Amino acid sequence: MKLYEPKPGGWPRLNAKLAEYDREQSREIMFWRGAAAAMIALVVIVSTHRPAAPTLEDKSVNATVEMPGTPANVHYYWVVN
Amino acid sequence: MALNKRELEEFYRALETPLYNFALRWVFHPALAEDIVHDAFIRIWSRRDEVDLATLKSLLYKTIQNLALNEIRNRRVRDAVPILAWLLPVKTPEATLLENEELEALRAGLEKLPLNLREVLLLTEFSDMSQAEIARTLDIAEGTVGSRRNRALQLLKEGNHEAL
Repeated sequence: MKLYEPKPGGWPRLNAKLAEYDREQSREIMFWRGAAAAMIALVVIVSTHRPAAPTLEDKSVNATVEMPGTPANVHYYWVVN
Repeated sequence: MALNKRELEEFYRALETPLYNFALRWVFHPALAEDIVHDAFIRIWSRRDEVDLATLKSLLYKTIQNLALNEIRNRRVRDAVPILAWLLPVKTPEATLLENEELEALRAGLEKLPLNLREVLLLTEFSDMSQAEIARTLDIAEGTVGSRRNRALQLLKEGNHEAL
């Protein structure tokens, strides 16, 4: 079968595509490294964080009150925030 | 040892013309054939740490064939679904095919050949691989390469593919 000549300058065009491929790979690696660093930082922050102990000023307490006009054995509970 | 850019360039310069002609006889579109050859080299470059120089040529032909077959399948899907052709306009082979009756006639013949005959014929025509290398590339017996090639040439010469 007859051989056709490819368009001249094939290697420079391919070389440019390879360079673009390498740049994309670098960007992708940088992105994943950044994402991994962020995840590690998040894990460290979450694992080292300790919630403060409850204090007397903490308003999250249960309160029991008597409502007028209700039977004595019925109580209403709610949480005051 | 990983493939370096200089080795890749040497391979490209040595094989550019046969690889281009091999791809061209699959897709019959000059720009697409070049893109397919370039894509194959980019794939090789992306796996440069694993590539064995001894089998690189065979790998290139196989990669180009797979990329060309993907392109042919995609083209069929685009042709079957008109909205895709409208959404994803591509140069059809008819629009940019080399103005060459000989090539057009060959295209008509090749496209009617069964895949297993076509791949053997194109590899024996354009790669300077031995029959044994082609057999390894296609994972077939060495004797089958010769018999398929003869059958493909016979069918092309007859130009009568109704029997297929």
